[in-house]
Amino acid sequence: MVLRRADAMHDRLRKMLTKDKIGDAGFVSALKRDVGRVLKDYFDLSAEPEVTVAAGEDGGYAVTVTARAGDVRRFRTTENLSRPEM
Amino acid sequence: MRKIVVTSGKGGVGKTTVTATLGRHLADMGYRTVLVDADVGLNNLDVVTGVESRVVYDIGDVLAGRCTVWQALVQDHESAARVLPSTNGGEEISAQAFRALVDAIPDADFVLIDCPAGIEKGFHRAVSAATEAIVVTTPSASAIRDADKVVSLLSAYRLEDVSVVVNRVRPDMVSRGEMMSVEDVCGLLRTPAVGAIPEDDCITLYQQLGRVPDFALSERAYERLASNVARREKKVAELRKVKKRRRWF
Repeated sequence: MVLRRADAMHDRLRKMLTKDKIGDAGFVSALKRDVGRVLKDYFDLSAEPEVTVAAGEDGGYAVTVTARAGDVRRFRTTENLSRPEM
Repeated sequence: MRKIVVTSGKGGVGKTTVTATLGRHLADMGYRTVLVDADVGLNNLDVVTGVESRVVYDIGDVLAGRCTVWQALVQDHESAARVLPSTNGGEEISAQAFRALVDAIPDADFVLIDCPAGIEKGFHRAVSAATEAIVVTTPSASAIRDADKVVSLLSAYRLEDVSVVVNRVRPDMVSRGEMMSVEDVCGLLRTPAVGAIPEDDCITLYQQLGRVPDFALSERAYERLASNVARREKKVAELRKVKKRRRWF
């Protein structure tokens, strides 16, 4: 049996606890809420955005945000300018 | 009255031992202390405190109206603490009923609630009756992982205080870097420590007899834990084995 050093165990646990939290429904809903708030500053959203977090094989995470907007919001500083062409 | 639930998530980390020993030390300090066993079915606070042969009524009898809370309390033979035993099972006990029962405990400065293992109904029943929480863990990965989930769940209850007791610490292994320190464990849980208890064979030996001797290695740690709880402090000394200096002359 290999004796694990305390610092290796600490790193292992830190990753484990982080991964557990990302899988928690509260984490995703909080992320979705914050992302939606930022997007609404720029767009008139048709619906709430969809956010998915997927763990990758390399230990990283793939975060995908999907949202639909009806229009670009007009900023006060640019309200006299013509709308941008998308 | 301060109502403190002692929980952990993972079973076998020492919740009941911490509840019993902390309770005894608080009672020795002069506080009126009641230990409540919230584990319905797998109750053993009466066994750990050595009062199992003197149990006449339990919380099931109180809730059924067969006795008062006062009549169900059993005097601990090691201290002035009193034990409110749990029932062996049978009827479901709601969180509201358990909370009312705890609130009805007369003349108590501290009520320590021994929470069942897990995070199901029993956990929520026990936590709902408390205003503070102590999460017991050991430096092992599985215990810390479960404690982390418990800490997350406790955040929804808006308790006055949530703190950690790290149990079964091996100072020799911490010094050699083979076991995480109390500071490391609390850093991972993002919760302050209120106590650190060293691994102690006396606990295992004497628990079978329902008592913890005052010559146990962990005695000082429990005294410090009781002092911290009573004074609402978090003074925890890091448990490290001090290397003896070798004399060459």
